[in-house]
Amino acid sequence: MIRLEGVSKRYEGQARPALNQADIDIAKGDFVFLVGPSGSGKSTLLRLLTKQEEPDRGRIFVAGKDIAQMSAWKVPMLRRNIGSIFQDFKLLPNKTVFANVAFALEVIGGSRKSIAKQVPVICELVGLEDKMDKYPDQLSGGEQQRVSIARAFVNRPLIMLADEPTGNLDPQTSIGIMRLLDRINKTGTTVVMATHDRGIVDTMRKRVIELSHGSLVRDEARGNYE
Amino acid sequence: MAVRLDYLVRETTNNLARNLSLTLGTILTVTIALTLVGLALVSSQGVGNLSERYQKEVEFIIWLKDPVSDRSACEGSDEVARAECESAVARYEQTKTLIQKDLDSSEAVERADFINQEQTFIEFQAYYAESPQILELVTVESMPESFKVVPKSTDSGVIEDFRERYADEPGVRSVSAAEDLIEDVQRFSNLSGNLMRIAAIVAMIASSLLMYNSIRTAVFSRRREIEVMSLVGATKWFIRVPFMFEALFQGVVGAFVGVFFVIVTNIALLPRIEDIGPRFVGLQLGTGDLVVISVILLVAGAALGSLASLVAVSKYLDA
Repeated sequence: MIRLEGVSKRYEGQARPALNQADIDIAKGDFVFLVGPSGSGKSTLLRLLTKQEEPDRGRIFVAGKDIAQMSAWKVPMLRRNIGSIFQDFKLLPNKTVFANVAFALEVIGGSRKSIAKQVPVICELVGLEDKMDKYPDQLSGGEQQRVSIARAFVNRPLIMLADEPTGNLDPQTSIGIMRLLDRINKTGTTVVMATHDRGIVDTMRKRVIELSHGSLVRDEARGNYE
Repeated sequence: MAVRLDYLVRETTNNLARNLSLTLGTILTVTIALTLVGLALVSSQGVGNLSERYQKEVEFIIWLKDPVSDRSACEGSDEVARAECESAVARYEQTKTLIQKDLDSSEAVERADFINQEQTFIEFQAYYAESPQILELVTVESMPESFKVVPKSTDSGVIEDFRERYADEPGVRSVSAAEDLIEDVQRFSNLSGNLMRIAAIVAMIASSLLMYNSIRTAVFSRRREIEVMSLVGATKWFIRVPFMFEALFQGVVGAFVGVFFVIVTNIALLPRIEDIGPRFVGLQLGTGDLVVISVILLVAGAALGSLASLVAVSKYLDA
């Protein structure tokens, strides 16, 4: 589903590369934790997969397509197959839960009928069916992250990228979010999650890819945080 | 991918409402710019209409100069003075007869009418009917006599020939043509038109910059929304179109208000200018001309908005 071949990326003004000669292969339906200290290249890798950044060298394949060669007008189609969630949720504060989730369908040209049908289903999946008319500031952190997951998953993407989704949440809430991601993974969606949360990684025992100074230092099936 | 109309209307309305003061400022500047453009067009079209009318009714007037202002000398007891007066009057009458004969026999003349002092006085009274203080200063005797001549050809060269032929004749004060009136009006119109054009260009530059800034502000205030749109797979144009529609709206609304001011000027102000004197009659435009000017202003407003927003979104929306 995802393949990186000798991918390097150096940001302007930085002496060290953010990602150095990375070779990674992730199969369809995998659940992968990306671990490593801050600045190790986890977020850069995720940004490369959504083509928010361009690699300096190497090739990146997503769903069989070389995205480095992809023209700019095809990028929206790529992103429709990738759901993204973030530590800070990136919700729109002036929209309700329903509108935030519907937004993802609206901007890709979804009809009003299909939006009215799909949004309640996905809100029920994330456990927010009774909070669809609430605004983000009326929700807890965990609930906001569930909205963010609903928005990322409403298009039924092939891949879900999560950049420290539990970073702002307490352990109990984090468990709920991880159960939700696990359920999504069981539907066949490939999940790649960058995290610092040792407890979650050690509990779930999924594949772990460790980065250090931009280099891949460990790739372990059913691994631990360290 | 097509942008849904209800989405476009909702997003545009929200954006405009969010930056209300900037929106109103931008619309106002566009209004000022396009009103000035409209007035320049009205002025130029009005003068064009006047010129056309004068060319159709082309005539020139040979104003005569009576050498004897006081005819009582011709009936006085002083024989020398009486002789001089009678001789001068005879020469003046001879000049009139010669000019009349010359005009009647000329193949270039359609019609030549002699206007005596009484007729001139009647015309003068009609012309200055609303200025009794002026009428009090003049008498029938103080009025000049004249020939009103309608030439067969409207060619300005023919009129110039007549002017040269009679201007230096003894007994002739001056030769004036409708051309002079047109030149006066044109001079005034050119001057005011140029000033309006300069002001319009400055105002249009100002409104373009304001629109550009208004879009930039809108982009910055919605950067999180744009980021989310981009991440969930919205196309570049889906993100850009609401911003462009916003500027288009500002341009077109500004143009509509500008059209309103131009129509008000045509209905309320131009008739007052026409009241100043007959030389200005015809300045007010008809419906056809106004429709053309209105369309030009609306297209200009839309173009102004589209161009300013296109530049702004290209620069600030790297989506």
